[in-house]
Amino acid sequence: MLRDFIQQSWKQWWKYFVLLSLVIFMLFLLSLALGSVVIPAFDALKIVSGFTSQNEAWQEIIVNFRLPKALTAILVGAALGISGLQMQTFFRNPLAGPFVLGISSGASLGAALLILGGASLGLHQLGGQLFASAQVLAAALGAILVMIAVISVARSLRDAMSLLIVGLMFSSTTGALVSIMQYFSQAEDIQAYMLWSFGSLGGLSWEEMQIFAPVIIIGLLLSFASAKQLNMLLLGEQYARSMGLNIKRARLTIIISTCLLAGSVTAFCGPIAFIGIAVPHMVRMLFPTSNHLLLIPLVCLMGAGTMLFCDLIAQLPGTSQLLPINAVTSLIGGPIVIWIIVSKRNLRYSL
Amino acid sequence: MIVNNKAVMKLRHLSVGYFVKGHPTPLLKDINLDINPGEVVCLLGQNGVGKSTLLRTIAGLQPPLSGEVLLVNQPVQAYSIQELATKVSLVLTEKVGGGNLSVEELVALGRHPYTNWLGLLSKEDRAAVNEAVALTKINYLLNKKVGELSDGQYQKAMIARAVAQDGDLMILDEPTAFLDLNNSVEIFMLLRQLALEKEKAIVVSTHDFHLAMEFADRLWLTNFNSPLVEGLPEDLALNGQLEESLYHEGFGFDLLNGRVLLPTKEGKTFSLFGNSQAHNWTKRALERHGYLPGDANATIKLTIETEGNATSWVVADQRFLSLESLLNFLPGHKGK
Repeated sequence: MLRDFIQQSWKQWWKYFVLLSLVIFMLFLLSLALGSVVIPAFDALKIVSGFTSQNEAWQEIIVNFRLPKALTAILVGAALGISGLQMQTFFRNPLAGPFVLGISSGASLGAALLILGGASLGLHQLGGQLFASAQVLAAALGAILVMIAVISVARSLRDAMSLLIVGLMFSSTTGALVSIMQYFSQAEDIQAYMLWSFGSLGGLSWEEMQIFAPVIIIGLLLSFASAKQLNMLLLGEQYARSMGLNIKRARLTIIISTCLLAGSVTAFCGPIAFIGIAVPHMVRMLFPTSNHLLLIPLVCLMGAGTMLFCDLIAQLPGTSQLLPINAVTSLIGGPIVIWIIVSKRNLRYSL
Repeated sequence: MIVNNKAVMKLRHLSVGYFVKGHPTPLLKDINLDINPGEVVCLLGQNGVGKSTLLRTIAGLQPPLSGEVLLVNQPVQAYSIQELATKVSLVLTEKVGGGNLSVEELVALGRHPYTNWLGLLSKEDRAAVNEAVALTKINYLLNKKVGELSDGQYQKAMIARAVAQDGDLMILDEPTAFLDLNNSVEIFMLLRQLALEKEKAIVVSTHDFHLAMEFADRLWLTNFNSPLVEGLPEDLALNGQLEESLYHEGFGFDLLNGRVLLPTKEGKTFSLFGNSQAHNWTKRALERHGYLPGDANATIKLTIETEGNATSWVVADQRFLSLESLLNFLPGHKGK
């Protein structure tokens, strides 16, 4: 059956998949090649494929900086896109995104507690790399705490809409706590926290990647397992139930998958806005399908491509300056969402 | 009571409603009914009387307050959600999302309780989808997007999806509420056909009283604070229960002719002379304006004359070429 489905969809869709993959490959090469130092794409490719280059500086830049960063961008884009898609379908709301459940707020609370509150405990003495790891841990803990709270609330709520409101309230509450901490903090700590909240794709070492990548992949696999449930939920919870969907189980699968994806992205890279909202809309705009078995792989590809593209822009190639990635994604994502809403009036029905 | 082994579903001492602050608040009480295969049951009643609650309860989406909903001699609540979906299917009033789904994909969603974890269709599933599409005659819509459908087409597609679910019982909650007369009749004809050809038991709530009288094998009449009454439409009309369930202080119903009877004023009577097709329409117009049919002593003596296609009305030696001009002339009309 799976063979039939893949064969049939492949016939109809292969051009899109091939095209998207090609674009991603190009962007991937560009992101290896461009930066403060321009490295010829061919050399970059050679280094990535395991050949050693005569130019040791290039070797060092690619292996330890640009390659993990490009891979991070791909994982982050896919993860945020998928959790955005899941939330939009689940809440049947085109404005939902990965962070509507309050996950990024939880992560920022964790990060704020460490960066702003840690100062008084003398944690800054930990030194750069250790402190960075502690930041990841704190953000992850914050995200996990919110995730546990959301899941336990979700079990006792009847409908998805209440959950949406609860998520928004979690966000406001944690936001308020962070504000209070900022109010009582030193200028340089606030700056450090601001830096975290700008987001960064470049902070992952290969060791951290060994945690990040598997978690994201598990989250993505879970999302594939939720494709059928998401298709049912397109018709609303009443119809879904009448067609035999166990709503509570579906809700749990979807929430856990989204929490894993959005939570680990925020923990490792900081908050990254708009990708999660914009990418599913871009996919729906370009590929007229509501079938999540197709939407999920398409969103993975589109998300990866968009994130690579945003990262390229954030590099400001040729200069030694960097733009904060969170600002770039918002700058690009905002207009895209507006454009889609203006050009496609029946946005509500497409969900 | 006669033992009915055929029944798809049996309701026994069923009360439906909600818990308000922990207290059971029943809307409909002590319902005892059998739902038989091959029958279309129309559930009638005013807004807020509990029709949807009753339907949701027998569909297993909501627990009964007391009593039992027996599906093949086992309470509905005892089935797993997935197993229940293979026996009972549901169609609601409102359009819901999924606008980018094709009609074919929508119908295929009905196979969910039978498909694997990825929701992929087997040969049997495909066959069931094709059969449902053929039965509901929506082949011409298969490749359309759900968002592009008219309300009537949408409901047919939703019914096809319910048919593909292949249960014995189909429950429809006001499926024709947003539809024009032609589409409503088509939906009811379709439901009848499904009951007759596929031996489905169909329970449909509606406010289309005349369609219910026309197409229902059985009516369930609900009213506030009174027990649910069931029976053949004509039996209920003859024993007066239909009229009773429709009782309203401000107006009445002429059940046989399918008309609303508005309150009339004293002393305004009319008599009609002349045989023509215009007779009935003239009567309607006059009655709407509060005139009662009277005998030869009526206040207004009206003669209808026809010449070819032209109709004219003569009263008190004046001739009118339309009912509108006639009504404007009559005494007591619109402030006169």
